[in-house]
Amino acid sequence: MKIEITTEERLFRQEVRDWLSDNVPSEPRPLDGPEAAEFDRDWQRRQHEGGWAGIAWPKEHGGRGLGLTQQMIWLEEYGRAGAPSQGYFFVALAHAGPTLIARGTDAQKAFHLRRILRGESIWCQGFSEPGAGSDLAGLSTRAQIEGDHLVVNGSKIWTSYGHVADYQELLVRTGPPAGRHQGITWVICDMKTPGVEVRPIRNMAGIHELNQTFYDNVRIPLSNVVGQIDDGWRVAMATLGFERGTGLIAFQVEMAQRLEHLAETARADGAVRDSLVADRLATLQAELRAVRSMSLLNISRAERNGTLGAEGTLAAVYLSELEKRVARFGFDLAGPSRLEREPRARDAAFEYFDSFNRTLAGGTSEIRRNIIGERVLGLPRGK
Amino acid sequence: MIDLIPDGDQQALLNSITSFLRDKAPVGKARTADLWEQIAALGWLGLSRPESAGGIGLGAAEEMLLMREGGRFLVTPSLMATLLAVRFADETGRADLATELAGGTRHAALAIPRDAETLYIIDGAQAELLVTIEEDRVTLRRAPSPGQALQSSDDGVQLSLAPIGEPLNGSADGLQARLLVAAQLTGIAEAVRDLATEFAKVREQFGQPIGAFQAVKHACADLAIRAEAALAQTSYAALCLAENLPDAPAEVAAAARVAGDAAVTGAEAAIQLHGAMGFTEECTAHLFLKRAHLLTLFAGRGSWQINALIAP
Repeated sequence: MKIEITTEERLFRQEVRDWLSDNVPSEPRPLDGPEAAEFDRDWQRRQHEGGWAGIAWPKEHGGRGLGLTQQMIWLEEYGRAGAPSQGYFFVALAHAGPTLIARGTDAQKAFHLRRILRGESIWCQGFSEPGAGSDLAGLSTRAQIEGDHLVVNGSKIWTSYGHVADYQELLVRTGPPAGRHQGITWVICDMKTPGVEVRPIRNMAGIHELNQTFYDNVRIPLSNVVGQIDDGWRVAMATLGFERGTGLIAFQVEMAQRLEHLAETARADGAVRDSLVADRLATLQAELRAVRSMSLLNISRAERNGTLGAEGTLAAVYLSELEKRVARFGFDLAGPSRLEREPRARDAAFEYFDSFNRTLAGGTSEIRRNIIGERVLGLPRGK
Repeated sequence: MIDLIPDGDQQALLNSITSFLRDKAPVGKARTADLWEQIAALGWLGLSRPESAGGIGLGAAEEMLLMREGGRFLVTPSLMATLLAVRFADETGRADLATELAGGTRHAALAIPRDAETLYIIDGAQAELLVTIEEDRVTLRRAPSPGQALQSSDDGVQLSLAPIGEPLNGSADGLQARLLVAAQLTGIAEAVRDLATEFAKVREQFGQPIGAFQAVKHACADLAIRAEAALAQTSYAALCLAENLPDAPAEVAAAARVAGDAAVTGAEAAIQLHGAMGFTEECTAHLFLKRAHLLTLFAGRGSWQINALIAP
């Protein structure tokens, strides 16, 4: 246990801070629509030009190849500077790219990785289905091999930014229908392929980010398969091996800023003199500090063990539930003015309604608690 | 870099503390107050005194590790009181007193005012000195005559009531005190997580271990999540305090708040997870609950935490 801030780290922090203060867009990110996609492409391109794209990606694939401490500094300063979230580049940067780095062919890497970093291609995820949510291994979208193509039929759901995406990481069943984890294939789907249809789903916060995707005899070249045919489950899980504990830092810093803004409002309008408000605010501030420390603990584990195991789920659940409490606090604090929505803005109502996504996306809190129970605590699986 | 995991030396210290307590002071079976000479001989009481003064020369991080185990094994609060009294004595120029306390020949106990005239003393039968924590200061008092024995809501300690005496001159910084409280609460949060989880693995109903049922599994997961938050935050707060960083008061206050919640809520859940056994005196879960509630009285839950966390 120790804190040791080197001169190198201080200089790096200053470099990051300077670059961000010169480059972070001053206008807020549009909530949805093609203008959001354009905004995200621009911001990704600007980061690439500055040499800050793919900070955790290896240099040989165009990334910055930063160590864990430097990644943490970048992410902290990123949040502090009010830089936009990864937005529609989240799947490309956090999931599809790392999967290709781990399991892609040389041709796949050469074609896709730099396009992602340069802000040229947005990726979406085609994992969940109407009949396979938490039980992902029950997926039934079929792919038949015909010559040198896969022919896909079926449907995916909760396809975030599918309506603006260029590519999709798609899980299809190539083996027997009831094969569970076996017989699944991970394939790159070009969203412009004939037979792909994307229908919008508006969420409870009133924006269009989610979609349902339909596949009608969609022909995908076999050269787009990542890993082996029928080995897609392991390919999909490959990114878990890259988890190093830094994944939550940007969210946590963003939340810290939101809470600080709420605290200032509460001080300015006197709400903080209400002891119930003060106590709630103090608890949220304490939990926010705890979530940062949980990231630090996970990074310490990853430094030692090379990777972070299921223990990372502890902080992930804690963060997602805290985000909901912070958003609810902001909504409560707004008082009667919460009746009014500010059109197309991240007002208190938007933050609150949107926060319900946190304990659903990427695994519900219930599934994550199963993971903690079974893989962290060693409790038995149910019969 | 920031490393929140004990290094080799710290781990060795931790192992020696744990193995001593596991052997000599299993929870609910022994009173650590009776082991004082052995504890003094191990050097725990002078852990953070400089080696030139006969101490071990370690810091806030090691004291945090010691008191985390103190919480896990429900060690007498006099251990924390003594560590704080030693610091007080050293910081106020009473080196001889510090040496006697660290050597186990003089005794300190934790106390808390009941009203303007009286205070409660915890495990103070042998104590010559009383330690109180007020807002951000630690104060020492001479213990009056034994005082009036009372029944304690924490049956792991002896409680007495005595008139408040005059404090000794000077005071010491209270942040270390709040940190050590948080450390014990963290140890309790980890202990109840382990207690409930181990029970859920062996207790069978409907033909399988109850831990296979999601209602139980998720409750255990919650214990793990809260204990993780407490451990991470208390570890980081200890380092901030050791390095005297500007954020140390807020980090320690956060640790006290998060660990207090983890310990109390966790102990309550551990009782429930043991079923009717959890309601018995024999099951140790209630001992953790009672100690957690005792300690939160010293966590500055009111104005101190709020000021440190949301300072205007």
